[in-house]
Amino acid sequence: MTLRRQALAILILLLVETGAYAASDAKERARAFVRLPNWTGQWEIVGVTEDESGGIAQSLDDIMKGIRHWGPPPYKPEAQAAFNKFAAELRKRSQADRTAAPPQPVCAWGFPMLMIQTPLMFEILTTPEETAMIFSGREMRHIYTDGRPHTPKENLWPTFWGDSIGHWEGQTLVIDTIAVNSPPDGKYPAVLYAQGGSGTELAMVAVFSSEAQFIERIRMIDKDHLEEQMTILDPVNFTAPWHISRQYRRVTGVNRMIHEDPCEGEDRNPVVNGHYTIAPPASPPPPTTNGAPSGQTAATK
Amino acid sequence: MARKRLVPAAAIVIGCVAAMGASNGPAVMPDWSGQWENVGATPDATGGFNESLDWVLTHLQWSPPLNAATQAKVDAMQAGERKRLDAVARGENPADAFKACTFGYPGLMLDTPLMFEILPTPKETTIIFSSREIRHIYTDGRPHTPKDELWATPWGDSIGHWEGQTLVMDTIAVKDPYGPPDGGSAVAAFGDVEGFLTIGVLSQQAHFIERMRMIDPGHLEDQMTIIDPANLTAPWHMRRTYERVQQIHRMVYEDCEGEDRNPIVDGKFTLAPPPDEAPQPTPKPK
Repeated sequence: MTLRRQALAILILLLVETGAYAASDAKERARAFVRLPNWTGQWEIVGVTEDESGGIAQSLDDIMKGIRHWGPPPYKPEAQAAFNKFAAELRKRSQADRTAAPPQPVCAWGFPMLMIQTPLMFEILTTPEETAMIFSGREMRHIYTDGRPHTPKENLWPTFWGDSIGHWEGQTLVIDTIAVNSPPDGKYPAVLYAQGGSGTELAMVAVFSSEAQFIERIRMIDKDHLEEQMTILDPVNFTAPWHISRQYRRVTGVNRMIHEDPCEGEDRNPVVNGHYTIAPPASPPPPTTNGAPSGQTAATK
Repeated sequence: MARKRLVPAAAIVIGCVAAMGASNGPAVMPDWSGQWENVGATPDATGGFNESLDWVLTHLQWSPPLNAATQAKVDAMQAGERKRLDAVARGENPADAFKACTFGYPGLMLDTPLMFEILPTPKETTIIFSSREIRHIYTDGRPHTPKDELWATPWGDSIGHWEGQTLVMDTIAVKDPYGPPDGGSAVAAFGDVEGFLTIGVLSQQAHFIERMRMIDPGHLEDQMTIIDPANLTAPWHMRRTYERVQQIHRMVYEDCEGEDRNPIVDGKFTLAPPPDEAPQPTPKPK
């Protein structure tokens, strides 16, 4: 065989092998897609329902019982003292707020509030590489299931939604989240508070350290319900793992996502008789003075 | 007889499966995972664009077939905008800047410096932008939202279907989050730090058709056609390409409350720690 023929043979071999690899990759991805559960549609938390006045249909007591079904957070003594002080401050502020101006709109709930205690609709999109949870408040969780580890420390900082990776155990999505802080300004680590009744009744449920790690197991328990089991490991604040469970039910009456724009004040999903509905704009759109965003719009991205 | 009864039953089953295939997408959903950015709309380290407005106007496809009335309106808008550009060139500060938390459609697809992810699934494809804007394209065979439940939003009402590995999207009911005053949406070109120019104004009846496909492992193509008999004399075609973001492999959101964790260094998106822990980026000379 001449050198030229040998080179040609090697080239053909390489091409065939590359093609075979790409084809087998695509086949494996197709198989992975087929194995994914179908969680399409819109979901909402069972037991936290927005009422028609903009508050929560359930009482604060009922909400607290649901969250503490597996017991209160297992605080270390020093963390318990800090929590008690924090909770008392919130209670005081909450009572003062009842006579003060209406609360400011919340532009972000953050994790873990989104999964435990918010009246927002959400969608879950599952692909082999990633599962995305998209909430009607324009908050997103990205759970990367492509086998990557958590973001390396030098590129990691806390955000409202944390850094999530995950994997599938059969039809159960196992999520691992770290690096979470709290809205509105991210100055505090993650917190969990409960809101009930008119929505101004507040109670602090848990304060986590920046070392907290959240493990979730989400699975479909029947065609209209998902179950969430969350275990929180916090070596700084807790003496043991703390468990919370929640169920999500399929939203009936709305079959598409309509994004509330909390920062601009629109809510197009009023709750009527305990169910989400779709409403036209409450008032005419605000007048504008120019036809296009300014240059600074681009600058702020 | 039994066999004759089986034949139509089998035909129905096959027909249903075929119909499901048509509405629910291709047998193998394309792998468009990763982060993408608009070619020709690259943010620079100063917070503006790498590309000059002149470059954007000449290198990206625009050419709107505006009717006379709309052309007159756009000419008037451009006259004001060019005065503003001249003032900026003279070093003056027009002091009319405001912070925009929402770009809206179709700007998101045409000329914004945002990262985005695309998640194609059989019944829905979502496009998620780093400004916390989301497009939902339902591919489950549904029609557009009925008129009595439909209103214009910055992202419109989108449905779609798959033609092989091409996602065909159909969007209506779009309004620009910041104008124009009579509803509808505007298409603008951006460049430099302060540069923008209105290219076209669309009515609330504008109808957007997009064909999105992967043209090579590092690039997606979007061919957009806008049909708007109220403002256009013919369908308006624009083509854009998106390239894979090289150095970031997860979504990091810019926060309307003021944090930007994706500063641009040497023309590339990078990741940065919180501003109070990081050195301020050095403005890049133009």
